[in-house]
Amino acid sequence: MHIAIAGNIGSGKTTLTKMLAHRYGWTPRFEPVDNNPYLEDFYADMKRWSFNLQIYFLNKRFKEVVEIAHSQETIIQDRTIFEDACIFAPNLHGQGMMSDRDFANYKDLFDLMMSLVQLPDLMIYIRSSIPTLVAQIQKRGREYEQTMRLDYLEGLSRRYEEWISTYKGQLIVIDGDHCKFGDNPEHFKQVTDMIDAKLFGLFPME
Amino acid sequence: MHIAIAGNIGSGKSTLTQMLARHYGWEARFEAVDHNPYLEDYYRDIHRWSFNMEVFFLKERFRDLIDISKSDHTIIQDRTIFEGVYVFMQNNKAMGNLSDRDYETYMELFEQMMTVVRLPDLMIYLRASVPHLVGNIQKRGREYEQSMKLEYLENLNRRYDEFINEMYKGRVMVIDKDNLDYLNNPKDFAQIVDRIDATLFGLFPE
Repeated sequence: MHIAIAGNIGSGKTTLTKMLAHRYGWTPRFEPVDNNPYLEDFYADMKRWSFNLQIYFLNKRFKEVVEIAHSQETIIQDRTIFEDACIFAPNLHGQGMMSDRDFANYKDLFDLMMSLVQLPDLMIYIRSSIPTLVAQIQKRGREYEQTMRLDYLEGLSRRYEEWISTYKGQLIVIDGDHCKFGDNPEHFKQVTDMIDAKLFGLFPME
Repeated sequence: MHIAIAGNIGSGKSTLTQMLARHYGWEARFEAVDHNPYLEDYYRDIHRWSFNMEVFFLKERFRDLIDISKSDHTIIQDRTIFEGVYVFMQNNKAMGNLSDRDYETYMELFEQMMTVVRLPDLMIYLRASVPHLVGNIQKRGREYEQSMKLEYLENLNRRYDEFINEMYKGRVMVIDKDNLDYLNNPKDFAQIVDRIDATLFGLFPE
């Protein structure tokens, strides 16, 4: 089975992934940390390297999806291929960092890939407001995140909402502003109740 | 079923594709990338646009392969994704049209694609000597082919042999084109058909 966790930067994807993996005995899968060979060039000249960088990422994610599909285990995945193709690449395109032509090429490839794989059995989307995201980004203090611009986060948030409103698979939305699953066991239980109902319940909630 | 015809420029791929399609009632497919959005830029600056254009081609051929695998009738394809990768891409790489990094990204993408599609049921490789190729190229008189260098054809011939002998993993039938005139000699055509029958439908495939 394939469970996927999606959400903006600072929404708590990794925390939730770890907690659910522990609770259900699922195998967690985190964003691969292997170095994208284009990253440095990309930061120096985004327009020139955005396509190469995104093709590289897309393929790594596709590889993951195929591996998960072939696995016998239940895998819970922190961050999905959709976030690359429906959030970050369109964002680069929207900012003028990826040309129409390259974006169309990229999107076509993504659509072909998607025609060959199944959607996750369950997508869990953590929806958080900008202040919540900012608070968590400050709290975890990753240096490279501290200079992030507000309008950047807002732009991503908008794209997340657009994407999730058209998402076709099994979906649970968690209100990240009020459901503090990391700190409050009651709140975590609300999450697992939703998951139980969706995955194992007789009458899955719609 | 998916039958593929491979061979160098002037080896007689299209002719054989048409003849076999007629003989077996298969659907013939010819390479059809009618619009390539990078072509103009590519000819102005090959090094800059090779990767983008090659990813575009790869994506279109991947689409063909998916379409063919979904089809419920037998398709015979003139030129496949494999030649694009194992012959022409290797050639580009050797000519320095592409950086190592882009080449690796491209090959990883191709290899990942191959994990989700089936190889053709049979690849028919038309092997021909350079003089034979030149004879055919002269005979058909396509203007843009007349300035082709012998060295280029020789080089591609070597790459074709490497592709068939060392890189390609599927089932192959090699036809020695120099000594067969299937277009004009029914016996020669019958000989090819016999071999295909034995391979595809026989108890003792070659």
